[in-house]
Amino acid sequence: MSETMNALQKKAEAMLTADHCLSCTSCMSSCPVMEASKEYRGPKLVGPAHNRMRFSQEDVEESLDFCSNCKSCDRACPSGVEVSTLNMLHRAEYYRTHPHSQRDDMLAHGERMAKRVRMLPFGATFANLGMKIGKCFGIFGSMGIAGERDMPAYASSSFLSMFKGISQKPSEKKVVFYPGCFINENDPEVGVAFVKVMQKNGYEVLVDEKFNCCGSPLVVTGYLDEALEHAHNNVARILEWKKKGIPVVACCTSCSLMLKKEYGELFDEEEMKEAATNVYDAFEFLAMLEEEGKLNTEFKSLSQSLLYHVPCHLKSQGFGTPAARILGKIPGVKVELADAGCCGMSGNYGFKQDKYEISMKIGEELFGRIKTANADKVISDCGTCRLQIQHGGHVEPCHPIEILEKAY
Amino acid sequence: MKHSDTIVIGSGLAGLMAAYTSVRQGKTVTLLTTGSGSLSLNSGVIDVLGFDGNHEFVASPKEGIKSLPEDHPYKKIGMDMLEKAVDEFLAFTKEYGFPYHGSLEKQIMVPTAVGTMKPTCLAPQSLDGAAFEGKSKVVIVGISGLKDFYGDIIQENIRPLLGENLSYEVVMVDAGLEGGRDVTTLDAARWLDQDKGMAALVNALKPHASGNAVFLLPQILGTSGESVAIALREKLGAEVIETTCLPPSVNGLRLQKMFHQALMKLGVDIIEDTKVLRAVTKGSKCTAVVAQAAAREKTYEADKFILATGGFYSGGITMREFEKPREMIFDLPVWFVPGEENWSNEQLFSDKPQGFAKTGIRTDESLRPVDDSGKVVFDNVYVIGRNLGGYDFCFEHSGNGVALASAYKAVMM
Amino acid sequence: MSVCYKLFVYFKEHKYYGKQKLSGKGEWMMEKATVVVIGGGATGVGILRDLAMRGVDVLLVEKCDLVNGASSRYHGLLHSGGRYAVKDQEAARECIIENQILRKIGKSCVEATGGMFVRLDIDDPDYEPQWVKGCADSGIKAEPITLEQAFRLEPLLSKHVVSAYLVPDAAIDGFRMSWQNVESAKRYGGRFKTYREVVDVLQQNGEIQGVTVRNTITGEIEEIACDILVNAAGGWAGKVAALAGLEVGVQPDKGTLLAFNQRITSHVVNRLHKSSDGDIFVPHGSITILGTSSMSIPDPEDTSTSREEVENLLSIGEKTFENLRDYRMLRAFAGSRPLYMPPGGASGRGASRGFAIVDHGKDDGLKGMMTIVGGKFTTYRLMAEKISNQICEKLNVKEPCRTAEEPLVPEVAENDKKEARKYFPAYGTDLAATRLGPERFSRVVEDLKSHPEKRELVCECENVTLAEVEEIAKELSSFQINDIRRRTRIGMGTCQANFCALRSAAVFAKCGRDKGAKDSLGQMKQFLQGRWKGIRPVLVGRTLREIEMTRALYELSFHVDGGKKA
Repeated sequence: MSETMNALQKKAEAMLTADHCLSCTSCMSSCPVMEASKEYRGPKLVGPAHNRMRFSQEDVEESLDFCSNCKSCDRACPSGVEVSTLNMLHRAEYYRTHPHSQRDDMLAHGERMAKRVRMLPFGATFANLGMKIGKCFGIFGSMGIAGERDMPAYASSSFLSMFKGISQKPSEKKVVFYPGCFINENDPEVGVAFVKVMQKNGYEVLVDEKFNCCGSPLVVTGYLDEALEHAHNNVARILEWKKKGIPVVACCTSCSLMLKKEYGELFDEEEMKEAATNVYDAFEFLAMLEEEGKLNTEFKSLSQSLLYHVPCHLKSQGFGTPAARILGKIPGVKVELADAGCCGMSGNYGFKQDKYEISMKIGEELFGRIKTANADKVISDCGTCRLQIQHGGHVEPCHPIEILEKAY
Repeated sequence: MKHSDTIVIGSGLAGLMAAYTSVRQGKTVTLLTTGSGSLSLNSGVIDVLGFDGNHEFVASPKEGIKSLPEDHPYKKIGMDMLEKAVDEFLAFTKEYGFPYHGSLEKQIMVPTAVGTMKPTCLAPQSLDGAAFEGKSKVVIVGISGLKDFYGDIIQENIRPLLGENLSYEVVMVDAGLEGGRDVTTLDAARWLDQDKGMAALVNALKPHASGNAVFLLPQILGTSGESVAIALREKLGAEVIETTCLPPSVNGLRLQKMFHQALMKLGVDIIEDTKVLRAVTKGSKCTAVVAQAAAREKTYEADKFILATGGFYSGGITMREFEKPREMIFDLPVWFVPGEENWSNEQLFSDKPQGFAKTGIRTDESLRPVDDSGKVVFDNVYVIGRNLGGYDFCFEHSGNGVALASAYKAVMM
Repeated sequence: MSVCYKLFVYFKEHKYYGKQKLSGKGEWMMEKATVVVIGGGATGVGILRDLAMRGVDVLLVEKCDLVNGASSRYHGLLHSGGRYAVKDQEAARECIIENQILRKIGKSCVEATGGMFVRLDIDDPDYEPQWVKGCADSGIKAEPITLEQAFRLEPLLSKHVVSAYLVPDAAIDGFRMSWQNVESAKRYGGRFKTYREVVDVLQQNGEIQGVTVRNTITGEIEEIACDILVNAAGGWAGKVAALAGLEVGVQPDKGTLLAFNQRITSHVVNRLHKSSDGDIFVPHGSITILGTSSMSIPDPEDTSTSREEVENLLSIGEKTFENLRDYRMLRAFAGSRPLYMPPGGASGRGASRGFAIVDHGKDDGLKGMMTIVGGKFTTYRLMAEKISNQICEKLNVKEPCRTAEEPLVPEVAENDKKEARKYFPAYGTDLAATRLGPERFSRVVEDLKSHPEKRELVCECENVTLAEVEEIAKELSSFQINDIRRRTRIGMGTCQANFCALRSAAVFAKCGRDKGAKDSLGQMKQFLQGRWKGIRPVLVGRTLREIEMTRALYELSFHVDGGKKA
């Protein structure tokens, strides 16, 4: 049996999770896009039901474009159907024969853009200025990007360059931090907070400049082949670190979900599943320290009420909400779960002009919760969730790790 | 390891009730779930016992239970626990703003999506067919484009039940939901969550509200609580009743939402999207369960484990090969009716329970699993809801009642 | 039957039901046809079409809906002949010729999947060269492929495959092929009546006079006069012959099949060994059918399937596809093949799959009566041609057979389909076009265009719109939801009618012409019961999950048995 045959067999089996579908509609009840829009025909039909009918003709389910890959359907399914993965595979199939728009190209390739920006002197400043001007003149709108939104501004220096300036206490215990594009380019303070927290727990944090974008924006925009290239690169790096016994930790839940789970579901390669075992979400990692009694709990009192929006892509990791529990141990801190479903942003989904309204409608419940909860701070692990909270909830949210860092 | 007093596995009605009752008893509770639980398919009304073993209608569930066979879950649960469970549930629904009513003494008749009346024991006001009494006109309200609600079918079947001394009419209301994908009851309920939806519905129905009318609607009166039903009743000055419906079941979702809010508020640690794979045991005690998270397994320790993973539908019990049923976590002995001839009836609907439907776990009086000889398998594992064997919940109309009562008892043990 | 009773029925019929036409003089006339064909299976409809095309006045009667017997209760394989290449080369040659013809005349009924023969390591290696030679001798192209190619084409195949060949097998839709024969016949004046069971064969002085039929829905009796009576009742041919006091050796042979919910294969996959039970997989639209067992049974009505038969099929099938038990079984079903038993012949799989035409005028002294038995679906057209030739000779009709040249129904034009895609849900257009044919299709498209709300899916598993269900529900031949099901595939997918039972009952109550359509609860229960029959034998694995949902919805939530005092 050759490798090709093995690979083929696995691929077919992955698609056959659709065979587990009972057509029960659980996914439809929980789909936030269906709630907000009458255009999306829903996960059951677009995913497993259509998967069965694809033999009949070459066709395009137009409404597949509306799936945001928030994975609420996967979580609702009583039968383990990988609905969103089927959707992403079908979306990629579509783009094999259809051209991408300039907008999709831009939204999918944030990493490429950032690299270009960072190569120029004062690149970030000019790029931010450019984005402001672009917004004013409606250039983004004409590209199909939601004119209502600010594009996330580039930080004056990236996390990776800031990291070089952090002096750490060396330690035998090490983790590799996987910043991901958003933290690296737009929100490096989260990364810095992570390093400080790990130092307080006796860990030395390493970075690996050879990592690239996890591929999440590529997958949702239908650039599956490119995503696979990213996956191969990242998986190889993770396995290198695994050999050295050093875990890889991410603060962005979409990145960690991609590295831990989605690679395997989308591409079904053995090494991906092996690499996944060496990747942790930051609070998952801290919770494991806590369970072993090794978490540094010498917290300062903070006297803060927190409203915690749990990102969809954290829920899909199946370990609950340890951040709520850990932050709850800080004297004076009160954590309340927002329990308001998906925020509606779902990566680059909310940036698309034709999805903006849907995105904001999905977010309504969360925005309402933010208003009534009147918490001192809204926290969320996901960068794009935070952008949505900022945009629709009119508050300045932060990553839970930043709260934890303040408590030390 | 994370340690809780109680771990509940499964988030159908039984699991949610167990988690709720348990946290109210002051326990630390972790709820492990995969999938959204079966409430989105469940009518959300609490049937306790609608029909006896001969398929005769049971006028009083309390009386009917007496004649059940000894191995029926209700007999293990006992009347005392059932009564307390009902009280607990009624108090819970009242406290969290979506009150149910009813008692074990008599049935509530709920109109169905096909125009029959189904017996149940506890229900929210909006599903209680008692509102038909003394009325002279039934206005069946359809929503344009809404799938799965057919006024003509309802009229055809409900007429002989309610009688010809009432007049009947079917009114179609345009909710502006057409033009996109197919419309479900959930869409229509979300429409009514909004003030403008409510105003439009009131406008459309007001002209029909005269003459002692009662309005019969699909299950669309809001996605949470009973505020929409109350508002509509007030604005129309007439009774409004909802039918059961094809999934998504809005009423099941309302109940689910209320439980979730309560559990969050009371501090139950809900861990979703994690499938419990197996148990860690020490002698006749279970010390922990191992669950699948992304990329790795997680171990959860507890003093007490409540199994509420459901039956065949939910995958709590599976049967890959004939006559080899399995409980997937603790590998508990699963009782079933052997023999092809006993497994199912020739007729899908008949006056006999289906053999296969009784497949499940047998327990002692405390709801702990037992083997063939009646010996308790684990001292600290309790089995509730559809995991239990020996009853056909569809035939008896007893599923949610067994779920509530067994959940309550398991917590109290 | 007494003359009095006949007169009474005759009178009653005319007075109350007016089923027969008024003649010009205002007198009631008995329905007449030159040829009456008994049996609405593939053979019967093939004869109906063949004769109608030659200008013969022909009427077909069927006791259920069309294609209710073996012609739909089989694996849907359009044989390349490969399966008979060793045992029966004459049959093999017939198959490959008819295979080419049916692809041409019934494009929308045939899915050109191609076929694969695979030999497993447990199969007799000596059989392979015999088979290769047999194919060559029979004119069947069997192309050897590498294992790598085989796995690329069929990734789920067992790793125990040691050699593989491609053959021109295909999947054929028995329902559709037969219906299209009827459609074609109708254009040439052929008539048919369903739900009419022949209860008597009328004869006088050794000559056929006609038949008495009973409407199986209303119980009404009617007589149909004819010159020639063709018994094409398949497994029931012996019973029909007995009505005429004749004996025809037909052994009903039950074949059991399993339907899986996905296309496990994209080709027809056959085991390359001596033909046996459970060794053919046929991808059939959205599903895969595994068949077939072979068991002699006394009664052709016996389409029950037992757990043992299911187990037997699974344990053989999982040799070819190792993970077979993990795939969702939808249902099991069985049909009875009409195996012709010349006196002293072998039975079961050993019996001939060939066919026989009996002229009872010559053999039994009953002039005008003929029986056609045996054969296989793939050669139905050839069988019809042969017997029609004999009939035409008797009737002195000179027209030649044209069934091999003319397509059954006109194809829906590609441009029309392209236009229609705007109105159909995704993956719906082509399927609807092949199911409906050009006339109905264009009506449905118009309906979808002017009533966008009818794009709603009644059946979400098989992608069937409200407009299409209404179109078929309105037809006079729709007496039950099951009749609509066979034409549209509602209820035949993943949820096995959990969702469409309510919807289709509502549509039928609204559009159905038959008064029984109004009994929505009864229709719904009957429809679900039909699904249940096939589900029962496979009530294991994930099928159990689905049925627990069915019952929770219909028995619990809808209380469809609401007739009970409650």
